[in-house]
Amino acid sequence: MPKITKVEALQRTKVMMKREWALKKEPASNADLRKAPPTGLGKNNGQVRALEVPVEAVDFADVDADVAGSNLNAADTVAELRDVIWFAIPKANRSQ
Amino acid sequence: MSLLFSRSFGILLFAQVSCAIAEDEPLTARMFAGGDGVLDIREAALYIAYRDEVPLSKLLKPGQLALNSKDVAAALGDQIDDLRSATAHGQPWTWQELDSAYPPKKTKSQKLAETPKWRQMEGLTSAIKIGEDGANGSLGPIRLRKTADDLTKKDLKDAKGATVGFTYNRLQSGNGAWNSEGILDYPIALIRQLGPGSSLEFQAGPAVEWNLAETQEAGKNDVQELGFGLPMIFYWTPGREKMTGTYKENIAAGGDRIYSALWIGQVKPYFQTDFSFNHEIYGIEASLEYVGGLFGSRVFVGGFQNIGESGLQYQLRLIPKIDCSETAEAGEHTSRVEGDDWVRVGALASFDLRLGGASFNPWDLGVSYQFLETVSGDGDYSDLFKAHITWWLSEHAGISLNYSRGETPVADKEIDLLALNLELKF
Repeated sequence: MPKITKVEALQRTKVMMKREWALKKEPASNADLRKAPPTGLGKNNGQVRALEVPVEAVDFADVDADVAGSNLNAADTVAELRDVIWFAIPKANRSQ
Repeated sequence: MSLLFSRSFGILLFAQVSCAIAEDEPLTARMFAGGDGVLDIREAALYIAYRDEVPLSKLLKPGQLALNSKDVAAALGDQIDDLRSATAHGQPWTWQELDSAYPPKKTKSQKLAETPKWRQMEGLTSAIKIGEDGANGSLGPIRLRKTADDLTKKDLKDAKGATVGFTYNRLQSGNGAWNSEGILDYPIALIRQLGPGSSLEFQAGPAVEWNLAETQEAGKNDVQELGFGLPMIFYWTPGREKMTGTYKENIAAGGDRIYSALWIGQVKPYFQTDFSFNHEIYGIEASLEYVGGLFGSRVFVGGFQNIGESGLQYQLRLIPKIDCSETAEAGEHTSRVEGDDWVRVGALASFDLRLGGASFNPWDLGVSYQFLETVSGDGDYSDLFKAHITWWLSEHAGISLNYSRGETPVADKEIDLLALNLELKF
């Protein structure tokens, strides 16, 4: 059974964002999702919520993430988004 | 100050740093760089722990009397990974790299303290969450926007605000001319999880919208529309077949394809009249918007995308629409006659540019074009072109120059208006 650490979950989150939002480089964990660039990533709730598809079907599919799309919107930063995804991964697939 | 970095060292050494820093001396990573001038993972972790005042309970187990730098590095794994992302290389890092790549962040309590009290009224200016962290839905807050199309933009910064303006030509008779366009609503949201990558949120709430464009003396050309509606909005992430390989296999198979996808549908039953309640039009309007990569391509629609690293962003929106309505009472502020009805289909396309927001107040400029073609009933074709440029003075207020030309979609009243407005939203 595949397991990931919390830091690996952050790395996957960054890779996903870089691909989905065509970012030049991976964002920092404290980068604000909504604030205007270059301070933040300048995205809206719709764009954050739309990540539910790659989270569950691609980037965290192997660890069975089952995230609530609306919960993704609660995240303000990259690390907070990772936290939402982290708690949506079954405990058996989390490596503490 | 001498810092000897070994695999395990005492709290006293850690405390030495705080004693060594003069009160007016800025804290930098250089102080933790040791003799070689660079920081390895353990040194970087200690610096960040010290600077961000990470509590000891995160770094020590109960009864443990000495810090283990390996444990500190493990506890600060996120921040260390940020260094790797920002610098595109692993350890060691120069102290300059560390200071620029990982600046301190605000805590949640600091962020809350910065939010004005009037923005913290639950149910009115902030949402009441239903379920844990709002997993099942929310109530409110009250929203002020320009049109119903802006209600699907939950983020304040991405929505257009209600406009208001006034002119008074003293050479003409009359009391001056007001122009204003806006919508005020109170959303109630319910959320349900579906299959892989899929969920559905339903949002509804009463709304009142208005469009006023007075012409001072020549009152017959006035646009006066007052609408009452119940916009119902659906947010649906469609999901897709779950990939079954390992992480590396899935990422390799996906390539650079965009998987993000969100459908936003809106159905709005409405009643429209004028400010004297003369004409009466009943109808229902429906629209659909896609947010994500168009057909999985790199062309993103429905949200702002960065143009390089210039700080300039663009947004493309494509919204098909259908409108069915019937005129129960005619009036001077509609070109429609009593008893007419129609079914119209069409679309709204808009293109916006945004500059600023980080180091200076943002400028928004954009154009939109909406057309509706009658497929059944009375009437024929209507279209409406709009252009605007807005300079946001704050998160909630801006000055905008607006131009509208065409026919309003429900009352079918001709409009050709250039106005300098105050623009407000919350």
